[in-house]
Amino acid sequence: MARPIPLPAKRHVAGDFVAATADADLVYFVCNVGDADAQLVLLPKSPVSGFRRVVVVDAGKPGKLPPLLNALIVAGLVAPDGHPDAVGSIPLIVATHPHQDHIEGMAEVIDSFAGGRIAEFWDPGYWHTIDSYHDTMAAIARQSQIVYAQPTSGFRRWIGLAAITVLSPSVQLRNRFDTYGTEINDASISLRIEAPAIRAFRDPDGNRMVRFDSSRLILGADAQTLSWSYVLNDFPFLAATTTEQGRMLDVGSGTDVLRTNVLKVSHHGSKHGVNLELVERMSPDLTLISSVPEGGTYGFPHEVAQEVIREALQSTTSGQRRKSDARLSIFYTSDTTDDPGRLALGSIGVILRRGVWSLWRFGDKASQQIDLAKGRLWTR
Amino acid sequence: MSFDQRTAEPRTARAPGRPWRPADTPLADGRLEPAAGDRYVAVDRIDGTVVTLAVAPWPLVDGATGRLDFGPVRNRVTRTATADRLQRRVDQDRAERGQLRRPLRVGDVFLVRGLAGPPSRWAAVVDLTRASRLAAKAALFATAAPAPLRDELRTYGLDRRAAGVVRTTDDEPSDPEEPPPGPIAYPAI
Repeated sequence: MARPIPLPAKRHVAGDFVAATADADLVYFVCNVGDADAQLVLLPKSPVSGFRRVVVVDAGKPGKLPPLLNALIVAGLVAPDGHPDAVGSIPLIVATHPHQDHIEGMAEVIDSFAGGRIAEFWDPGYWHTIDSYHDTMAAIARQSQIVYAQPTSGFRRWIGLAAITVLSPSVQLRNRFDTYGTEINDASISLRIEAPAIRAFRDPDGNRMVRFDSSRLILGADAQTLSWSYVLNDFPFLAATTTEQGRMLDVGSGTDVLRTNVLKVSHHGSKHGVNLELVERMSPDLTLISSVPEGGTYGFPHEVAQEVIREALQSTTSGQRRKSDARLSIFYTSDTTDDPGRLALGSIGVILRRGVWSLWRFGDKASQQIDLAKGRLWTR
Repeated sequence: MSFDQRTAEPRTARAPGRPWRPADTPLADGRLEPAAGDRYVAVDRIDGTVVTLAVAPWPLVDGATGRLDFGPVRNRVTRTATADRLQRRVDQDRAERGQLRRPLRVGDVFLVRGLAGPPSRWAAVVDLTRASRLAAKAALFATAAPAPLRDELRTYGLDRRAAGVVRTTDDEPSDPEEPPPGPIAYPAI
């Protein structure tokens, strides 16, 4: 494991994180929960209610997400208890896969937000024997309104201005779960979240499609090589048709669903989590890795994965010198400052505006809550 | 706007439940009695030579929901073990009990007595993987697809015997014409 190089403290500037968010921004938190995953996405503000809605992706440790969600409510970003828009304000919770480091705090999150706040819960349908899995299932069952679903690749869900596409697991992997024929990491639900997604404007003369400068996230969960191989098949790169016929028919405009602004690297930077072609396809502007300072029990992130990501972001075949992770916009929840005390930079908050990111750090340790008032902006 | 996906289960009462004694195991037929200090040890993940174990007190069966209740989170821990050492300890136990020797897999579950130090020092290790997998599956389906309410079953022209899919428990009335109120999913685990 290559420990992240300390980042200059002077490039982290105190600011008002909440005030820095604009209505249409996609806001993404990668919480510092050590060798685990806990993420939260704030969808763009509803023009009707004036509040944002929240998607939770994994809750690997108790004590982290509920205080963050409550802080977002107090900050006025999410509807408070008793407000009509509190119902359904957490339209989706995703347990990417049932490893302890992804669901240990899940029952706590679900139990903390009753009263109809949670609308839907996804997991891959891989039943695991650990205690936290039983707790999670019981917590869902205590709330009658929560829709439970097991999506597979290609499933798409629109929530407000956002579109959420399930990249994995392939249904071919899902159909092997019952025999435990799928490695549990490859059961992971990986997601692409785009906002604002393409919309149809209602028009009395005929509705019109409008494409925005959107922001895109890919959340890789713990998907490994096998799962990503299905993703690459299921979501091929489609070259644009440049022929006159194509333009006349407005077909074959080409797209790459895997292209993203932000990539949350799968499996804490495990060597089995990413490969070169995959990261090249994604071509992220910002790459985030959830990890612990000394590599933890498993030595994540692996140097192999780190080098794969770096090579994808900066090809060195031309012999040029490798840029630092910070210059390649690769950041870790285990980052520290270059102060003598090596202060933890902790949880990451990303504000995405028309695909352009700004990165905030909250200075919390894995065992500490996120204090939004302590946000510091990384200046490039 | 939302509508109910299921009848909400009651919150687990911390009233003493019965220790889990899964069918077709030494716990069911009295060959093994659950004891204080017994631990439910599940193989959460295997990364090369490192096995991560989710360790919880031996569960009780919640009388209200039929679910396994592992008690307060503060009493649970995650431990790691070296794969070959754990494999040797498990093999030893399996040989003594005439069980199939096989490689460790994610999802394997053991009742461990005297869990302290390395696996070689554990007092007893009993493989309960099959029963535990069935219990996890039941936990999922009791959430995702609980059985209909009793009066709904009647509406469908089904009763529990006719459906033939619901396991009865000792404390339920034997007369299907006089069922107690409430969902039947809970005691079905």
